[in-house]
Amino acid sequence: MLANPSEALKSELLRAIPNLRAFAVSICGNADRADDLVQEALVKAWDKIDTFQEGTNLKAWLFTILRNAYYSELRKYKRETADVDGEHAARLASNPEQPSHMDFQEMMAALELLPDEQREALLLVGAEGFAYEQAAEICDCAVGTIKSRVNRGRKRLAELMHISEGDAVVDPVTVPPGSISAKL
Amino acid sequence: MTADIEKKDTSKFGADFEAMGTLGRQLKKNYSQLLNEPVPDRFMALLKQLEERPVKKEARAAGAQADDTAEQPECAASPPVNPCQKDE
Repeated sequence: MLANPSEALKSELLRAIPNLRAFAVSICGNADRADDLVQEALVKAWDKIDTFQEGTNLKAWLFTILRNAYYSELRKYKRETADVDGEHAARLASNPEQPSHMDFQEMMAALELLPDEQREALLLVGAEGFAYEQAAEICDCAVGTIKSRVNRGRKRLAELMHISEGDAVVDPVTVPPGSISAKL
Repeated sequence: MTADIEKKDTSKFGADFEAMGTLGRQLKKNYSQLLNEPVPDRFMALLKQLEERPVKKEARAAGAQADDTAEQPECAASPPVNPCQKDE
């Protein structure tokens, strides 16, 4: 039972690393710290791979471990970064009028200003593409809670990025050319 | 099966999020930029290190709380094979 992961699991683990890194840096806002979190999560996952239920979603399991590692570290770290958050806010506020040219940095900074639970919900569902149900499991909360966090998170993010959500909405019926089979 | 559910829900979500327009697209674009970053060597090294680490049941049982790091040079401390492990 206390053996190394199977080859299949190992390659799945490997494939998940870019996702873990992307999620980690998006939630903690610091690349070095993110990689430390990913490392911690990988070691933990490896050590308790025998508790993983084969057939369930390994990526979701890994995200859960990563998220727990993040939160267990957050309390001590948060205090030190309070000022950094303030700086981001100032930078955003000084740069109010470029809705369609918001760049990477801006969005990362805006994400950092979201409450933790909204940021993670938005990232898990909106960026990583987890189903609401899976995101709920990862965050250990109800599906409805995740849905409302995603909603509040995107509203808040739109405000921070000075995007009018009304203007931004595209016709949901729009289907990219070629995908005729969208509605069978 | 899980994959099917995932796929269905994700695409349902995708349509939903497409309605977020600029913001949703930007979020995904940013995230995929992160996803496409090359994985630093340290992770390959880490996995290799984990793989080569001896599976030690006693160590786990004794130090289950503290074995979160892979850096401990456990193999140097004790011989990998211990023929006289009869004491219980």
